[in-house]
Amino acid sequence: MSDPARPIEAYRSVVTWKTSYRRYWGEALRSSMLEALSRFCEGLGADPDQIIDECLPPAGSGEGVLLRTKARRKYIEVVDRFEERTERRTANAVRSFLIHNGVAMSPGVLAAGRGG
Amino acid sequence: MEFARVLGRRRDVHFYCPWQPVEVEKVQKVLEAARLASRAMNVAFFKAIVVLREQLSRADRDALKTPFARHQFDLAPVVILWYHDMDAGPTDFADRRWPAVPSGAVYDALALPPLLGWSDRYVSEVVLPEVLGPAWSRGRRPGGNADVGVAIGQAVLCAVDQGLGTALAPFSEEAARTLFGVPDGWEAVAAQFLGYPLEDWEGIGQRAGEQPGPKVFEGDARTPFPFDEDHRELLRAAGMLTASDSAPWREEELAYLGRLIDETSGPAPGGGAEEEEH
Amino acid sequence: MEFAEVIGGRRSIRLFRPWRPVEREKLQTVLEAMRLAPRLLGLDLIRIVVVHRERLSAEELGALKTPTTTSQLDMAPVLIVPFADLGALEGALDGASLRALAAAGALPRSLGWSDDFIETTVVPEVYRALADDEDRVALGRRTEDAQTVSRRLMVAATTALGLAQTHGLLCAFDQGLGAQLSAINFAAAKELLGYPDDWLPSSPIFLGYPAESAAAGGQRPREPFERDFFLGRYGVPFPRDLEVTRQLADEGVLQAPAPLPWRRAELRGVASMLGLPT
Repeated sequence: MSDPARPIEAYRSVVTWKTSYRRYWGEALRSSMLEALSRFCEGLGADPDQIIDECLPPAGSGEGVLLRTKARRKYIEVVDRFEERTERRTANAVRSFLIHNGVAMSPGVLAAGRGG
Repeated sequence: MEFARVLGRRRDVHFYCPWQPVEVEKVQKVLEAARLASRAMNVAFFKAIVVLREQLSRADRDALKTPFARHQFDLAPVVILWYHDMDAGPTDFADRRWPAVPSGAVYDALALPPLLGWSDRYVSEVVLPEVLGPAWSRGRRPGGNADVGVAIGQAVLCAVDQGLGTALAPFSEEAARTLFGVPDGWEAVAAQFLGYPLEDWEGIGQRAGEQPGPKVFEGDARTPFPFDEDHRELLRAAGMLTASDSAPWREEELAYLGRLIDETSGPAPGGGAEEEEH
Repeated sequence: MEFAEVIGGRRSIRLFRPWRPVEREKLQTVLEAMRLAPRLLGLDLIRIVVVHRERLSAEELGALKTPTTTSQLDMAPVLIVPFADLGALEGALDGASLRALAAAGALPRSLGWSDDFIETTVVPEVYRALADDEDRVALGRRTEDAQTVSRRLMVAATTALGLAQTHGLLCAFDQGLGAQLSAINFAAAKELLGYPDDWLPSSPIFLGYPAESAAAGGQRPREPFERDFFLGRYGVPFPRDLEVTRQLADEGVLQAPAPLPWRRAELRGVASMLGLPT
């Protein structure tokens, strides 16, 4: 993460995640999910807001749909590789973070059943 | 009625009992069935105007006719004029009021879960501005919409389940626009006739007049799907598949029913005098 | 199953049991149901290609995916892809298919469906008029597509597609299967399935055993009935009789609205089972 001193819950995108998650599921994020996101960000050397801004640039930034799609595809692959080093549950926490921030993705299901 | 039998009994009915009204509650049930049909983004792309034959003059009925729908307008007590509402998507997008995806109602109903990548923000930040917005801002998109067909399909089957005869046919879009005040953004799709059938469904072969050749394929568009004849026997026993060819008495039935036409709505094309207004 | 329960119980199933194949006979039943859908304008438009997930390579399956259908394509063992063969119009211009329908009694001769009427009226006024129609729309999704088709033929084609889709969806539910109209990457599908250029594709039916309950969280929200249906004239709402809606609730057509109280727990359970994110 770019600023190791800053708690992960202080990032705007993490607040969005927590709020959206609670709204949908009626309960709070588990701490293990926040830890998973921290690990993911550390490995990547990026903070949560940077990841989301890359996938969904703020309005008026001039980034087009094609660039957004490219960034989303990149992160789908990055999370898949993260899963290879960790486990499905940990990677799914990161996917949940991305999804609740508006970055649509869904992992392959067969991989989970066949040795994931 | 069992679903399989509803499928098995559906035929395009041409002869409706002109003197037996259709109960208004049956019409409502037909409409309710259409309303429950699957539709993309939960948008009601269909709209319908129910027209009672008794509200139409002979001239009105004639104006609505097309080569595929002539006597049905004279015989059927009820006709549902189905439309494709080309403004439905843009309206739902602009209003965010109706329970379509743009309003957030489908997500809130827990029908589009994060399990499959959906979130409130995906709808508001991606689906609306990048997918639906551009698509629905390009203006009306004529040429029908499969979801309208999906809704009509449920209406047709529901009519059969109610013991009614029914059929779909094109009607005069221009005449209907004038007669019923149809909005500019509605595109005519089909007239659905409703009435008690005078012809027996068993008379018309389920595959009567069907063109030969494979229509269903497997794996690619060249390899015909091998339908299993033993399984077809089971579907016949269940009442879903019925006689492929028309009954031997069909021609005679049509000849008897044809007499009604001379009495009710004037002669078939090619003969006889014009019926007077009534 | 009773028709009312099928209409009321059908849901868009988005979560399937990936490990359970669809029995060959159930697949055939769904396909037979789709073949029984009403024909429009006497045209035999519908073609269907069945795709089995297990017969696709990982690359082929991957190419068919879109952002929100990735998991669904992994889960659903069968895709049923419907097409409208727009070339069917060209084949019908000689009137032979209509003469066959009339000869079989499906188009009643006593309502004027003589060979002469077909040749001098229907073929020129309907089929030839569609072929030469100047009122045209783009064949593809993009309005700037160079290839165009008669708007009215497009309405018939999209409607016929919807009619076949609804037969398939309802039959799947009647068979205890789950089904949903969803999206695939059609550019990849064209290459994979090799269908002709004049086949107009529509949303495939994703078919399999549901991993969520058949109720899938409850009946989805709908806009007010009066917004969709009119009586006699646009602007005059069809009066919805609440006694009829009570009957429909008793019959199982109108069911508990989404979300059911246990929907969240269900989705969580399915997410754990299938390894999907929450």
